[in-house]
Amino acid sequence: MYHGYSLKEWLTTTNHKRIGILYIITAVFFLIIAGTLGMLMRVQLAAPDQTFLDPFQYDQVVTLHGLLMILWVLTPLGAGLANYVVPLQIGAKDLAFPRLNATSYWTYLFSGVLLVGTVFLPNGGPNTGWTLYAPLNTIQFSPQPGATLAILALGLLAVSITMASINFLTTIVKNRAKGMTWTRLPIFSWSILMTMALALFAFPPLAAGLALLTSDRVLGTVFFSSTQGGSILWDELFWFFGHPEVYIVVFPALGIIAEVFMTFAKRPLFQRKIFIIEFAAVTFLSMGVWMHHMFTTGVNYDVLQAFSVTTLAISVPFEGLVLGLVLTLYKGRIRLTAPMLFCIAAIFTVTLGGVTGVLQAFPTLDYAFRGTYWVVGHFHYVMAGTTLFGLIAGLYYWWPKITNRKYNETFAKITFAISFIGFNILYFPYFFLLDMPRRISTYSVLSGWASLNFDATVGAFVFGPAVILTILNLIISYRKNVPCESNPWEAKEMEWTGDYSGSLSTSQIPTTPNSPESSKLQEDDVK
Amino acid sequence: MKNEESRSEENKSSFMPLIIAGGVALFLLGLVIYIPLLVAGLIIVSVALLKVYKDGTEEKFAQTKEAEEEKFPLESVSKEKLGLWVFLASEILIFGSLIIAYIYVRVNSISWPIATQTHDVLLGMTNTIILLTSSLTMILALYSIRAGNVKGLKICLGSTVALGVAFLSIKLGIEWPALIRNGFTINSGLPASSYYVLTGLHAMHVAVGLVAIGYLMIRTFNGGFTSTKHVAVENIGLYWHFVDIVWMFLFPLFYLI
Repeated sequence: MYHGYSLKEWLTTTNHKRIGILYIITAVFFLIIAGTLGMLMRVQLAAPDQTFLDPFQYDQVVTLHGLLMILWVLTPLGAGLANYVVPLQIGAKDLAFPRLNATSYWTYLFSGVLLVGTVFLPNGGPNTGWTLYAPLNTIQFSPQPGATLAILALGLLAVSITMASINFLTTIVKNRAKGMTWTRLPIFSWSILMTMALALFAFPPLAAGLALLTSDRVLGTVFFSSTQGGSILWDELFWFFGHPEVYIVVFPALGIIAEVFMTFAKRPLFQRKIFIIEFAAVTFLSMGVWMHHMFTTGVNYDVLQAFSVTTLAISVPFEGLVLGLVLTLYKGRIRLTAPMLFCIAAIFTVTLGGVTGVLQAFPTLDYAFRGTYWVVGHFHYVMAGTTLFGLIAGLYYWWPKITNRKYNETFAKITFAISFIGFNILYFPYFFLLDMPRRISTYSVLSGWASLNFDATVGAFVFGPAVILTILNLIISYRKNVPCESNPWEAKEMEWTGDYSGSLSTSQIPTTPNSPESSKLQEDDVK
Repeated sequence: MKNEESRSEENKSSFMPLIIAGGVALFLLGLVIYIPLLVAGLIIVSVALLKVYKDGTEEKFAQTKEAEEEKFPLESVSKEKLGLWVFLASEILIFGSLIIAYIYVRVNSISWPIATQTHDVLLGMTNTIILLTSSLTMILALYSIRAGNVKGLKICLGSTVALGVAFLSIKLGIEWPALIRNGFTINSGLPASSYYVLTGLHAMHVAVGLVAIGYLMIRTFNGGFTSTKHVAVENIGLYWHFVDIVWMFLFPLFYLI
């Protein structure tokens, strides 16, 4: 379907579908790079006293793996799917500002190229960890130019995402087709609306922090090298962005899970209105929990307690979201297709990742777990589990829409099984490495961490290739050239059912099953 | 395989997003490794923006009217204006974060120089009045064109630019050299760091605003605005007022307390 376009047409496109595809391809490209870096770390940690990577190289690998995965893979993969799907779901011809959309994409691509390029500069790239903590991020402790360039690349990405959020917010508010009222707005579009609202809130403060950091490194100001609160200032600015970023990454995945569950259980979303309210509650509360990343920095005791409470509070609506998703399956006629399997796996991982995370809301436990592999296990269950599985489910689910081809279902199920098993072998041992610090490049044989670390490395060599197989499955199915029907899942949303050859009419906007009326029906069922 | 829809979209294709993004990336790379690359990036971006301006005058990318749209709750706000407001929200968050960061470092510092002894309040006050007046002329520009008075628009935009240039000249030409002579240099500690970075970023916003008003003036002299068609005057005006309001926070924080 996309063979017919020349290179020039790809480079100059302002069409939301093709920009979406560019986003997806680029994010997968960075996924492969960042995944390879993760594998390098696992090789290094497979046995005690390894010298596969020296400490400085290991630090760079940790930093780039974290930055790339969170900001250049998971966030844009969601944005890519949103680019393709949201205008179709809401009945818009394109995003509100097509050229701005193209500019967002190209700045994203170039910022990633700059970041990866830092390793080729003399003295290498950033080695501060993805959190770029001060004063490690200052010119005194990381003098290499690669670190400065990485900070600028991050700033450029912040600009790119801010442009995208301006575009999506305007589009969803202003470009809905007649009849696509707020109550009818599909749940994936709702999730993108929340994502972009949060992105608008989170990325500008990051940009501000990066501006101060750049001026420290280039002009010689002393914001973060100051001994009078400089490093805490960075913590505040960074985590004010950093915690909402978790939800920016996970919301599109939740939206995809909701769509997939509704389609493959043939059920409306359980308590749709409350689901949306819970979404909004998480969005709002996520702006007020950032300090739980800073419990061990010596913050004031009252502040610490307040943020402990908000952190517990946010878990309530969030669990409500998960519960709503699970109850959508109740009494459903479930078809276990590949996207469905990935979404069920995502629910499993979000439960485990969520429970292990909420324990950190208690400052006493946070003091114990802070900076250990327990925390690494927690956020990989949420990031690599829920988010990546959810986004892969989205790729499978919309693949027939995007390429007009069906993927190989058997192959997809096999790769799902391998990746789920590999994922758990990789990350479950982390929950037992309670005393292993998270950023060490090697450990001694006396520590007793060797066998669990070896297990994790075995898992990495199952999980990594399984993700590659998933990507291969999608590519092979696209090249096979066997067209499929236009709505193979019998889904009800407009991206499948809408007739985009002419202008949309109100009658095309689905009222079942994803509508308030049918939601009421379901309530009676449950009673 | 191409359908009619995608054929018509080719008219809307543009190299400019790619070139602007590449230019900015080159600019950043140059900042770190080799300054001439920075200059090259700057030139590329400027040329690309000129092309965008040309596309704008030809209305190549004008919004196509969608069939019928659901507009609740913002029935009377145009897409451009909503986009601008969302952009201003992101700007508010940037300056908000910076101002909070400034308050934070100041509160946490053991000592801080007395504002009125470091900074020239008289010059700061003059600049405040200049910027406030420029907001007034910008509003008058909008009222002029609403009444169809193109000559009034020209005068008002011209005086806004003059006032903006006066602001920058006083700041960069008189204040900063005097401060630097007194040893208040950018790397002399937190008071200077915060002052130069915050007011510097604000000055950059003023400069961008001046370029935008310059664009309005060129369009005015080409007869681009009428009493019914003047969205750009209103939107760039909004941005200009925002820049003024930021100064209303910076002035007391740095010059008075």
